[in-house]
Amino acid sequence: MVAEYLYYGILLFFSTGILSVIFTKRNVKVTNYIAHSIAFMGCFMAILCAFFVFFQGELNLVLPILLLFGDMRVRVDGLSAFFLLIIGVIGAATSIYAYGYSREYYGCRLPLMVSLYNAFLLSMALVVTVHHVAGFIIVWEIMSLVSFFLVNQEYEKKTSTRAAYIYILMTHVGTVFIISAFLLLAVAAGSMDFGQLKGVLVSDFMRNIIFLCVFLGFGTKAGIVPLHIWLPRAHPAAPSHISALMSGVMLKTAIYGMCRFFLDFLGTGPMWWGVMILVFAIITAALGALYAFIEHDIKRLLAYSTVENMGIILLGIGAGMVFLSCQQTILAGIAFSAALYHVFNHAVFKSLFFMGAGAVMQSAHTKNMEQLGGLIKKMPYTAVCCLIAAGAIVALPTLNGFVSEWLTFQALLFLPQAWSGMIGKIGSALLIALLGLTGALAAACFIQAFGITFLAKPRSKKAQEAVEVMPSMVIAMGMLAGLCIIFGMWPQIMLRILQQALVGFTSIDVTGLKLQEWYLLSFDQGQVRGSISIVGIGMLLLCGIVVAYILHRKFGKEIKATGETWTCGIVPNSHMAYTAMGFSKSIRTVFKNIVHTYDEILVSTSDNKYYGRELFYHVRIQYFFVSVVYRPINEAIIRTATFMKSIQTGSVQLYVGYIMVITVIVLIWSTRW
Amino acid sequence: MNLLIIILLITSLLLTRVALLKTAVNIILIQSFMVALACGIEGMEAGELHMYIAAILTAIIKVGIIPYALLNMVEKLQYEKEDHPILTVDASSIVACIAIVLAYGLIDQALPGADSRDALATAVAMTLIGLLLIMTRRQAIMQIVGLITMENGIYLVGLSVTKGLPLIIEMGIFFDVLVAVVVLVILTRRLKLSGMSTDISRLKKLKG
Repeated sequence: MVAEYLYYGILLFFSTGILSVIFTKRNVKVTNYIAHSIAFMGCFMAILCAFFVFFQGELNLVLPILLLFGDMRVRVDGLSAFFLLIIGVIGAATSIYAYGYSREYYGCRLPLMVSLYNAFLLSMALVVTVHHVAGFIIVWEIMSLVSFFLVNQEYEKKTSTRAAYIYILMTHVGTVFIISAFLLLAVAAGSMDFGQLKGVLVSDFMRNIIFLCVFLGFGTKAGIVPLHIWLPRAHPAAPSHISALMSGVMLKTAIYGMCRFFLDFLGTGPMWWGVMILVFAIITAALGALYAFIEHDIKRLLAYSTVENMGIILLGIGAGMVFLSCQQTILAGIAFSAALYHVFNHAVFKSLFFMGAGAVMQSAHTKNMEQLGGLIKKMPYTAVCCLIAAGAIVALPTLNGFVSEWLTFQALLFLPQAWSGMIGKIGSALLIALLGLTGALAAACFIQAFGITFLAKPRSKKAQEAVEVMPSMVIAMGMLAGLCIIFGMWPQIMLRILQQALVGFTSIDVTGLKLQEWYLLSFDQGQVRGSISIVGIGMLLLCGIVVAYILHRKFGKEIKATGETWTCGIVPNSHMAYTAMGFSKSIRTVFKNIVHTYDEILVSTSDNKYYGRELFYHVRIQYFFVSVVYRPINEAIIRTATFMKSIQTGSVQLYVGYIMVITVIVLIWSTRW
Repeated sequence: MNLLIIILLITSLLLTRVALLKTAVNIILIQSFMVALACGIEGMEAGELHMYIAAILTAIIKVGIIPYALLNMVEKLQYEKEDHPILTVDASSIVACIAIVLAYGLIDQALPGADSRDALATAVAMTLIGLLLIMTRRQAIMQIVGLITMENGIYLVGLSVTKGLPLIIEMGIFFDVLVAVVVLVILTRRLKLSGMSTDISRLKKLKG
């Protein structure tokens, strides 16, 4: 009962937030505070609602909105509540963050932005709770459109409009597939209600078609690799707290849709479903990490890192599907838990890093890492939060990313149990090796992201003048950083929530995860067992640090350096530190067969040859999928359009001629001559 | 009735051969008059009052108002003339003949053994010839003439298939044609004012 009121509370708060700007638009400051406070309250309600659902069982209600095909049913079960929780947690943090960050947008359509911000949160909350096909498609579309407008917030910039255009194009292509999948199922079930779609009898062929549609449709939103191109464009274009929400939460709605279909509607499928997801997932993860590493725009880097993390999440889901196809319910439970755990973790640490990037952008006015540096002294709190986020992203132990990646690795290690034979063994070994490579690349990437941004000396005047951001932004980042540590140290909390989230699905078994021991992550069920102690790791880590420190004190000779002779008398300056481009050079060389880069050196000489030359070093990256998949499609469309244009001459007579030809043909055809 | 149909066919064929706008309008006047007459004869055969009303309305609008407006217009366009049609007059006459043959073939195929076979075929042929005129002539007035020919053809189809449409529908059709012609006349006048000519192939310039 309480959960029901809380749910109405969510809808009410967000709707009020949308409309509040009408009354407060006179004063942008008031607008900022009121609308974001309301959004925060809505998110708080979402968190409470999710917890009430976890403790008291699922929530069923019918919204008083008439749809064409029956009532707008809302059902918040464990899975929905889990995603609602993510929306609540991340939304609350971004709302607090937005108080400070929105100052950038005073006098720049702020009322519109906060209104859309509330609408975005509302639409996402609805997407994960609506249990009705038509309702789902409508709110999904609203979510896409609202986020399109948010990406297009700074429409004076040409890059923004271009990014928004590509985003809306890709997302609509995805929506086509989603709608087809839903309608194929709904027609077979004869009902639009999600409850009726479960276990519908459809032929195997149709089931495969529906599976492919789901994979392509939600995969576009999730950014699996050939369909990821909108991500690195849209995230940098949007305001930072919006990017945090888009990357942290909106992409997760795609995972929600996949889970809904794979666990609920479609039932267990053939094994190739899972294998296909695994293959795409590992490509996504590895290439995402690689592309992230060679990027030097911090938000683009984060966007590619998002692609990588979506790959890791999909690895969990793919492994789960493989286990499902062989009725390995316990292993499937572990795999899906790993995927959903990583969903939550990624939402937390990626939003955190996006907020950090936003803070850097706000105070240094650039997102090009080559112009940053030395910010750890100017913005210490932001730097610490970003360091925690980076640690979590690269899965350092005692931070939350580690737990979910460990579970994912475990799921992959047990893969041969379901996928028998040599291929299974080799396949799983290959997956593990590639995931390891991904982890290593991600680590290098975030060493670069953190090191170049925050360490060394300021590389430009902008970075020199940076100051710490508003307290509200620091508080928001601190909240999420705290969560990173809590869910890394005490994974039981999250595992308990995950059990509640997944317990409703009969096809998987989540009782395998042991929750009794604190600080310990373990599962044990017959043949399948594994455990890892967070405390143990923490102790080891601590020991390592202590030993290193002692060794350093004991044997490390202090080198006294006076003067700066080796620099030939020049005081060390920012030009001597690593640049992002230089740091990634080795990786670019190693992977030059996969990532084609063109290094260009521009030399400008002055007339006086004793004056020296100025060198500009520039790297152009050629993206494989853009040149192989998208450019040919683009060219084909343009060619067809040019061909079609030749029949549009502008001559009235010719148009009438077309009509006449058609008329005669139709007349002849109608008489079956 | 057959005589009327023959006259209608001849007028349609003639329209493909005229170059002077005034002659074209006169021919359309005769054609419309014949249609009105056909309507009256139908009404006489069926013995229904509303057919007479329809015939009178046809006469007023198509024989009276529209040709009057067009003639008025043509008076002002003294130097305009269908000089170089897209399809030469001879070629368009031949195409019109083909259209007539095609129409007969179509009607035989679609409605074998229909009572009013000739009327139907003529109606279809007139529609096609009207389209042909719109397609191959450069002068705006000739376009209007083509439109009215088409409209006459369609009216004739309705007449011969149903033995008279309900009056309200006929009123609708008349009103439609009247408005279309009024709009076209106004547009033609504007065209003359702004383009110094009513040659619509100049409209190509408007394409972006």
